[in-house]
Amino acid sequence: MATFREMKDRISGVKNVQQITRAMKMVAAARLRRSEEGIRALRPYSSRLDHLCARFLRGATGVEHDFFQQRPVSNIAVLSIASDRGLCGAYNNRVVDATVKLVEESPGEEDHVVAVGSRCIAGVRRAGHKVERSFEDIFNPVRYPVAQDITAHLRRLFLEGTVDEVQVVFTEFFSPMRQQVVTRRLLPCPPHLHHQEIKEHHERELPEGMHFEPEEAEEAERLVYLYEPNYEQICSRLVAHNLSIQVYRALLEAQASEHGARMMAMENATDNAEEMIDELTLQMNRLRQESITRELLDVVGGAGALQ
Amino acid sequence: MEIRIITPRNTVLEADDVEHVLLPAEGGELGILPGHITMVCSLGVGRIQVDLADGPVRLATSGGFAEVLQDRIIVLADTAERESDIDVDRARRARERAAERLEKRVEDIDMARAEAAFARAANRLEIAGPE
Repeated sequence: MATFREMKDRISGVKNVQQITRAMKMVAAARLRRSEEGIRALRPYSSRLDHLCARFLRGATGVEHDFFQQRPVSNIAVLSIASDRGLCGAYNNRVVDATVKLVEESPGEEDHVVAVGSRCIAGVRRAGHKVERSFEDIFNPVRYPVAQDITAHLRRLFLEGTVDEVQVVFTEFFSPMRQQVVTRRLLPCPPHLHHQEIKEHHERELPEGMHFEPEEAEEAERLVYLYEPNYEQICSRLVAHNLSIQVYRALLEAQASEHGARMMAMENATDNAEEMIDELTLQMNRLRQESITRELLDVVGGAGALQ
Repeated sequence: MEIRIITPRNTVLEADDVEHVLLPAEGGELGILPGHITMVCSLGVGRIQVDLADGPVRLATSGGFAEVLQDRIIVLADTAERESDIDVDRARRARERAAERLEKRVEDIDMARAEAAFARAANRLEIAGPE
């Protein structure tokens, strides 16, 4: 049976932990807000870029680009994006699990895992897979040049023929309560997105006050464009650029998801601590009462013996 | 004529009283007046100048795309900063760092990247004004 003193120490211990989890929750909430702003800030840009790409590539049946090359898939590369820190529930594990599954199901012998976040790197290695290239400490905030570096590496793997397909695994952010691990193909690029697909995509993506304008896009298609320097080069740049933006967006989504997951995990921890404190306090009071009763009985018994 | 200059991080400029725009197209500077033919061009490192009714706005960009529609220009820039927003100290440090790398010509440093970094920093400094 624990003594009164021990109980008191335990309660103050739990209270300390609760203070920390509460502080972490606040920090995560603040960072989440900033991350969400980052995603929102990218939207006007990416939606415009999608427009441009769709318009170009849809009519461009004759365009050959290395990024469209469909080859029989033997080796794949996986860009796996999780975080540098723990204490965020199952956030890191989910990404690692999805990555490992993808790698193990791929027909090739070699793994080409590019991992972002030290937890992700460690997780993939623990599962017995090699990490070919790793990026740490790139969040808060994510910088666009980092996305370009990552993309350049993946592009090289694909263009040199080391891999025939590039996938990205990251956590898509819907709300602080809801994040979902998704796997998307980066390369080869889907030959052309149709307006319908883009429209669907944008209905989820577009913030208030912005609309997808199919009429505008269709009208623009009828327009004659002048290309500078020329059509092929513009296409090739657009496709390459779009790829970096996709990676950049995945990094931003992952960052927001991490903070969302941490916020929820810390909220639960704070609630659990509260429950524990209540229970321990109850136990402690019971203990105190028992000892008082015992002492009282002693006194009464002693007085009785004296008479 | 309308213009929107957008980067992955923010919308840098939005205006609807544009009289003339100069863009740093890769083949050389490109001037656009209202009624220009619809066009898509890729941009290099350089200066964007937007002449508004109440004076010109100058920006430094490190490349991107520009889409010229009827009476509307959309610039998708990798980066774009107004001359007053340029961090001169940072640009100067970046230029020194790049210059150092270029001078050393060390094997394992990507020369093309150092050159690009140098060009970007030099461009920012040029647009920010006389040193």
